[in-house]
Amino acid sequence: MTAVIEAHGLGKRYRGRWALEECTLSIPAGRVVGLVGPNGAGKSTLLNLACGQLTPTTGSIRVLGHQPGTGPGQLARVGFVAQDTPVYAGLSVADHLRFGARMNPAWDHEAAHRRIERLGLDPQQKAGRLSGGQRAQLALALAAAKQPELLLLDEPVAALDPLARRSFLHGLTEFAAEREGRTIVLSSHVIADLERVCDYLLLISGARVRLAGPCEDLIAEHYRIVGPRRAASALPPHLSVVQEDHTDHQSAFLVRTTEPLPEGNWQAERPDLEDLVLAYLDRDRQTHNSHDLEGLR
Amino acid sequence: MIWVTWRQFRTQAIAGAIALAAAAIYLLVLGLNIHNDYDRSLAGCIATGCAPGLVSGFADKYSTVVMLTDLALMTVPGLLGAFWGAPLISGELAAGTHRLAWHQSVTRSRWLTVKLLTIGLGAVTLTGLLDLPMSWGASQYDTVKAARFSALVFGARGIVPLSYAAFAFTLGTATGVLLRRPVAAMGLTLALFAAVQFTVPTALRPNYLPARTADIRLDATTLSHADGIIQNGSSLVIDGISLPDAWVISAGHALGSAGQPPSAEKINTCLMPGQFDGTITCLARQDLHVTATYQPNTRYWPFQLIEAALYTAMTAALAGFCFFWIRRRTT
Repeated sequence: MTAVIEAHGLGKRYRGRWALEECTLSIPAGRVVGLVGPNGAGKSTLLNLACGQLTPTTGSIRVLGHQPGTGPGQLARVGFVAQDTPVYAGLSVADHLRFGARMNPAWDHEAAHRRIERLGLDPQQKAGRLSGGQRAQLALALAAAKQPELLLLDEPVAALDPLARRSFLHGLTEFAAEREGRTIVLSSHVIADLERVCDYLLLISGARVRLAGPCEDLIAEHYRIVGPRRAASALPPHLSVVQEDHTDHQSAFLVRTTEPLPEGNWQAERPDLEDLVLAYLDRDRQTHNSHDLEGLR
Repeated sequence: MIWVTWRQFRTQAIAGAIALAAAAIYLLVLGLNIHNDYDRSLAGCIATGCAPGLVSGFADKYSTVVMLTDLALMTVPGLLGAFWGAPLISGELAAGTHRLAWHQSVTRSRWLTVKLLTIGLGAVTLTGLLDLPMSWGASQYDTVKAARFSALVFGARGIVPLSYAAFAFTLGTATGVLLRRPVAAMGLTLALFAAVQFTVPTALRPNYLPARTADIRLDATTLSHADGIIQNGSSLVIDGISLPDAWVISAGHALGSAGQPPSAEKINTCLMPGQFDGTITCLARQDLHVTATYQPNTRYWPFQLIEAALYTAMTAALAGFCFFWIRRRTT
């Protein structure tokens, strides 16, 4: 499978602080990628590097085989919906569609108008008077009608109410389904937003990539096991412990293994995507805290 | 891309066009007045020599209005820089819409090129459309006044206003790119443009070509055109000395025929407070002269070209800065 986004040792430094560090990843084509992580983890930075808005401090990133943002051809193949979905407040919805048509050779006039019509947006309305949800939909309509092979969206649903959120994500899956091989990467700090639409997970925390892979594979490789209290070292060695939790009598672990889970005196279940994300974020926070404590000693 | 530029710029363009129309009508009316007046009073006698009062009366009648109009015209490029140039990119950066515009199938460089060229040409054209009726309307006044090199007139005629417009517009764009805030960029543009417009005529323009030197005899005609006579002991300075067909840049102290300073005694007897004519007649008899540096009037067009080239070079440098900053530094 060909990689849509390929990064090696990618890093971006902002005002003396690393917003993204040592990022090596390869995202296959045809996926809907959920880019998840806490606020300030580096999600926006990664997306901005992928669309060419930012240039890397270290390492390299190639998108669809080329350096991002170089030349009109590359720009045409990558759609980007920036955070807060910026639109021209003084221009009408119809003006935005004309704007898109003039700025993009592959513009799909039909699709853009169909989308606007179905959303019930008045073409004469100024974009500055649209609600947050409508504005996000307009931004999506612009990015989709450009017919990119890769569509990047930075926190597109963060400011939307649940109904608008659902409608927006529906529009997104439609875009993905229209043509084979289209890839979408959308970021959110709330995994629940993405669980319904994405089939590939990219978890970023503390400026680093913590977890990446197809959702079904990730779920298949992880188990939540609960049994009598024991130390993590007492578990079979090929189980790598992501998270552990102990009470007086019981121990609960989230473990990762590529082999089948051996029988044991425990109960095992599959975690869902949200459990996984939370477990990895939790581990991350604990290692950070222990670092901090060492620093204090 | 041109449509996009036009659509975003439409309101400012219409405002500019309305202001241009109003100003052009005013300039045409002023020009017609000057022409009619000239035809009635001076046209018949200017070749053979008019009565002295007639020529100076004509010049005095229009000097204030022409000066104020020239002053207003000199501000046009600055206003274009502030209202067309400064918000051009900073408006997008402040609203975040550059994150929309730069992810269409058009590179940042082309996006900026089209914006700079179309609106920049608009700014130059607008300035030119004000410059033309003024140059026509005031042509006879300018001939009579023979002061094409004076700071206001030089900057409001010929080709230099076009280069001012291009420079001010690009200056506005560049400060906008740098500051990312339209209002701050507008203020800085006006301040910088004013500073440049003050510095160039005073510090640079006199030196575009090496000035010539001449001894000007202080005869009755020269003295009667002077603005003032200042004496301090044996040092006599003539203020506002003029030379026909030339721009006098500086003039030294009055000297005697052998190059020696005149005696304080002789000067003192000549200075008769309140009797300007008597003073002039007396001083003219002393056979004094001053050494002055000047630029001949034949250098008017070379100077226009040199100054236009200077502003064009600054325009190009600022545009280059905009491209560099947009491509490399702006996120």
